[in-house]
Amino acid sequence: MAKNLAIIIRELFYFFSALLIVCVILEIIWPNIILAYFNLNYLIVVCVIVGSISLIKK
Amino acid sequence: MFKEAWKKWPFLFKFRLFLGLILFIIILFFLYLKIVPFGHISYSRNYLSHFGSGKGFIYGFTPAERVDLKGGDVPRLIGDPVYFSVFTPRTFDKAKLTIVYRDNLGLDTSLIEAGVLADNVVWRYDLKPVDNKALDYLSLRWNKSEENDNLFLQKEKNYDSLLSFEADLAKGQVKGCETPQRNCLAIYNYSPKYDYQITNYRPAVPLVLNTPLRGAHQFYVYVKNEPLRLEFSLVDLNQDLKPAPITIILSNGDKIIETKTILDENLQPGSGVVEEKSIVITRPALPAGVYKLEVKINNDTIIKKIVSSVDHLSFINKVWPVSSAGALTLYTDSNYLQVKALNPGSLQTINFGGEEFKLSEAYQQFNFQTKTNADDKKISFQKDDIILENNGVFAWSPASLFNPSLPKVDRYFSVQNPVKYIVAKYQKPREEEGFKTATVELNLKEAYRENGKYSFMISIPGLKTENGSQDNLEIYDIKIDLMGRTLWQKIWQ
Repeated sequence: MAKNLAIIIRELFYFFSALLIVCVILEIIWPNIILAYFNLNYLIVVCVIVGSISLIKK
Repeated sequence: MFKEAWKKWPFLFKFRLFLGLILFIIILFFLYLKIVPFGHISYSRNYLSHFGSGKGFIYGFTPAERVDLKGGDVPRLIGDPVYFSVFTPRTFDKAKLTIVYRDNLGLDTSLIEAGVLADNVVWRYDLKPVDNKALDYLSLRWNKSEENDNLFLQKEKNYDSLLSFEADLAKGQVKGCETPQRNCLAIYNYSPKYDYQITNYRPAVPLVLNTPLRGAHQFYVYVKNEPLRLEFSLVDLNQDLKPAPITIILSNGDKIIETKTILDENLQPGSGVVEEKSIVITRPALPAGVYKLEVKINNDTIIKKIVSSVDHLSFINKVWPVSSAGALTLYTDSNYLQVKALNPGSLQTINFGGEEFKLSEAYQQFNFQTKTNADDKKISFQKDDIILENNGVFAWSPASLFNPSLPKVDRYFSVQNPVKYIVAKYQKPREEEGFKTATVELNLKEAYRENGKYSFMISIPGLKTENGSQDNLEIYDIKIDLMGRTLWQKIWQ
């Protein structure tokens, strides 16, 4: 169970990282496409938190 | 089959598939918002709500000194005009701007208009009515009828419909009026069909205007079955870094007759090296009527000289004489005059309609009003480089002065005005518990868009920060409904 949870958290970290990269690329191509709706700083914070938990679980 | 495969797939694969699907949906969602495939989207900003994680689409009001952000929960507009920009992910054809506001304005600020930047060279906004208190007041007291969004007010009920009034106006025989175009009909945001003619017209004599004028100007010329020749000598000062294209448009009513343009390659930006340019407009015998000339230039360009084959030539609403190095006399048909000096050296006392008015501060707009009843009011001043504006026309001699425009129900309109009819394309704002909601429709096809943003303006003529008044306009909510072509129309048409 604990192993599965570690996997889920790790995968969530990958997911948020991929989402962040995609959002940044979209934002570079079409400025304001994301930032008008959503502040990417929140996504970075979530990414860092999930990444830290993943490291701790490891 | 899929069920069996699903059972066989390991948990990690299924979880990654699930997250990948979510990622794909998120990307599709933002692409949908970027493309707006159905051609319709709404953006809004509620100034009472402070929640919102994104930057939003409707940006803050500028300039800062005309907006009070600390006096209450919502921004208060305390100066005129105020601008805000709207980011759109693509271009649109039409916008419906809805403003919810509370009006704390006095009687001398009876008009509110909103619009979008249509021309960035002459900084022209296409303004539409938001609130017109003079019309609201007269709607309650005069005979009122509404047809096709047009408001028709009659002091005495002579017509059953606007159509029959328009038919009489076109013939020049309006009931109860001797001269339909003057002192009979006032308009607002409406263009009636009628031919302005100068009675007792004498054949035109050539006119030379040697007074240099800075920036964009518009003027009327009156021609009666005679050729028209206009020679413009212009100077690009090259004091700023922007290119200075020149466009001159000759039109009659809504019809453009001729457009001449000189593009600027901008080879010497900011050098101060002057470049002389000239444009000549020549037309063979033109039918009798009023023709409008629009000189579209930026403030880095000067109209050095105008040579005209006709002498009935009146500048519309604004003149900015510069560098003529001497006293100047102009004439206007309006009782009002707005004057602004952009140079402390231009501060002086101005004689307007026989009365003295003091221009005591630079960069501040002064409003002067004369009591004289003369048709043409003389304006005399010793030093130029001042911007003169009003709701009428300006000319260099009384013989040149003529104004084919009908009186407008604008800031300067008095409800005591002797007009008998008013036609306006105007809808009174809805009012509920002190909050007013007004909607204006704007054409974005002609609007200027830079870096994905349209520039909007809210104008409250006469509202000033400097005069210490407590007048303000509280903005509670702004909503913009944007309409444009659908994705399919973009692909196939």
